[in-house]
Amino acid sequence: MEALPQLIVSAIVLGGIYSLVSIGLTLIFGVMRIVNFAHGEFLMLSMYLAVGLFAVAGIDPYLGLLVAVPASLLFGGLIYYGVVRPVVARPHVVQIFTTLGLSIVLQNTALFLWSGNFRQLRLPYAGTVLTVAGAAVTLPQVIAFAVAAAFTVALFVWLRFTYLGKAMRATAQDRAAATLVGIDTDKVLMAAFVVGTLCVGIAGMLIAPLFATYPTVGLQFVLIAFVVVVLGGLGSAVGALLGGMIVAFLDVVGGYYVGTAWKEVLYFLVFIAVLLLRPAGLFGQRGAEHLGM
Amino acid sequence: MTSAFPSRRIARVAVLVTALACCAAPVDQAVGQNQIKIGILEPLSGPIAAEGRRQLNGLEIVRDIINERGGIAGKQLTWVVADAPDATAATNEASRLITQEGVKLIAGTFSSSLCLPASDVAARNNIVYWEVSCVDPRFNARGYKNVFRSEIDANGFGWYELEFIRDTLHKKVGKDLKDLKIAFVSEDSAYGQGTTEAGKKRAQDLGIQVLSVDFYNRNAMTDFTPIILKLKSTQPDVIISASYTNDAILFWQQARQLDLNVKAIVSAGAVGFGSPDFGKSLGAAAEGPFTLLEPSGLNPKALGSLVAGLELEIAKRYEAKYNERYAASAQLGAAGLWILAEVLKKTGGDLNPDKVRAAALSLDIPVGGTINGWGVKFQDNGQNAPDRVQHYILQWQDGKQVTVWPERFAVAPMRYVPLPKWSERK
Repeated sequence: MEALPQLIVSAIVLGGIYSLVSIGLTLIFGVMRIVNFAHGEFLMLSMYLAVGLFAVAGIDPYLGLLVAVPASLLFGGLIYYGVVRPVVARPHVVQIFTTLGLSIVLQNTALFLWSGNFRQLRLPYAGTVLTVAGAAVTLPQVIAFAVAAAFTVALFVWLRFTYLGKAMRATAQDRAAATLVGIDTDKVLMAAFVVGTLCVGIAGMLIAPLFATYPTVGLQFVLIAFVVVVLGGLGSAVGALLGGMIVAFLDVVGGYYVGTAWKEVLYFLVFIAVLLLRPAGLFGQRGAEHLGM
Repeated sequence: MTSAFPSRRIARVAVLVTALACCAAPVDQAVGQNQIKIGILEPLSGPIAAEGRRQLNGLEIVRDIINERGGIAGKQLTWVVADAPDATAATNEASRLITQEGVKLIAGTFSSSLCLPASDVAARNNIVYWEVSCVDPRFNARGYKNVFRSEIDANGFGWYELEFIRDTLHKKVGKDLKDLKIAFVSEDSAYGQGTTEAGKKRAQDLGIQVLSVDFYNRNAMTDFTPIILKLKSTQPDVIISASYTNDAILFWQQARQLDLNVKAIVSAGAVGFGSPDFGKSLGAAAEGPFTLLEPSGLNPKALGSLVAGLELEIAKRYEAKYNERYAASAQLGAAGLWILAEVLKKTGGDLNPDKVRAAALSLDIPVGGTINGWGVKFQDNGQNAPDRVQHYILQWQDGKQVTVWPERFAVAPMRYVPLPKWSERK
């Protein structure tokens, strides 16, 4: 079957992209238990940053990461202190409406500032096609995947071996217990949000050469990101990676064999099945889904 | 809690009733005896904001020209604009325009997902709904007497695309109709489905082989690899695409990446391949696709001289004011409003639904007689007759879309048939 190598390679690349977009969300959702409906808009803002840097100063988005990293950290901090922190201890309904409101504000601010026009960041080497295992991939796709993979590994190492990482995982498992053992959960929540924002900030820079940028582009990714996060397990970086891969494979390979009109049905069916059999997600701490909810 | 003094309670009730009465009273109906006030409903935020904004721009230019030339029956045309990013907003805003702004006619609405709910509200309130752009085939099939549409519907889109193939394209490709192989790639909302079903039916009637029909959700499409691989193996001569803009851009980029080569690609409408953003986003890779649209440059010999001058003026003003090419959605808005003005001139500016209907149905303008080279002949169901709403095939050449068909309206010859292979493009 000639199509299979291409399908697999395309799915892997797409999986890397989905994981990168979702990793930020799994940290925020997993550690803070806050449903960040504005996650797609953080991605959108980062894409606009990439488009802007390239249009105004000719800066490559990969070089632009040097700008995106501090910008994301700063932005994450501002949003955390300004919008999120006041609602951390509030009922879920309040949190949902807060982030939903933030999402609407960001979408419309972008619309106001930059109009609804679709902008494609067109790198001079965007058309360069490499052949990998009998499949065609573009250079921006390869870079996006490579950085996504490297970043996931780095995040995984950080979560596992550093104090703050361990504290985050502990808070994700049981916030009350974490406080009892002396973890400053306040700081951990802030760190989770800021690092989560950093992840999605990097994701936006990397996918800007691949997809058109427009104020509601976040909608294309945010629903998938939530599926990936719950599928992979709240707070798990490896879960986000695997969840992303699973969804991408269903998307691409499933779309080929079953038809693109049905592919969402496909991954939502798998999603429901996993939730029925293993509610914490594939790599989630068993029982974690009950705590803090 | 009963007040000891009944008069206090009466007073409270009286204040409440007065307050409610003030709020419920219709907004000042005497807007100015010298003005005709209508409502405009367009998507100015949300996923299709770019095209909604362009349509509003086109409407504004034509309104200004109308008013400069003396208005309608001596009255100036004014309006209230409402934003409808989605179907729910369309319903709510249409209601608000009618009940709070007191408009007696609503024009709009760009998208097929908005025009149905909004016009339902208008019909319930016995208000005229003047549609300039949406293509949902059901719009005029609901038995309403007060909804009108100046633009053809998706069935017309599909029909015209196949007409282009039948009349010209298959000859340029070098194949008889019965040997021609086509494939449809379509987003799955009313616009995509309507256009594709109509095109597929006509193709089958013409004896053209339809190799495949692929639908997808434009909001969930992040990778066209499955569809492109299928097309690579079935090898259609022509792809007929119905897409919005983010998916058109992605599809064409991935077609290059995966080396999908076809002899021609045809799409319809002001979005997707027809959007100015397509050319801006893809640069040299955008050369070649055909789009069914309003004319981009019209051969003036094909138009009445009155209209030719008007077309040029609108384009010039548009480009000066908005700093972009006058195209697509703006052209639909412009023609729709111009025709509405012709109708209202006949009613003396009266927005009464029965008078508007009588005036609209009495218009009879041949092809070439009004903006976009259109004619006007409203059918009983309020739809402008498809054979009057002349549509054109444009082609992306040198970074812009130019009219290439029908030949008598063309400003440039067709190029790139067959499309150069990706490996041969710069």
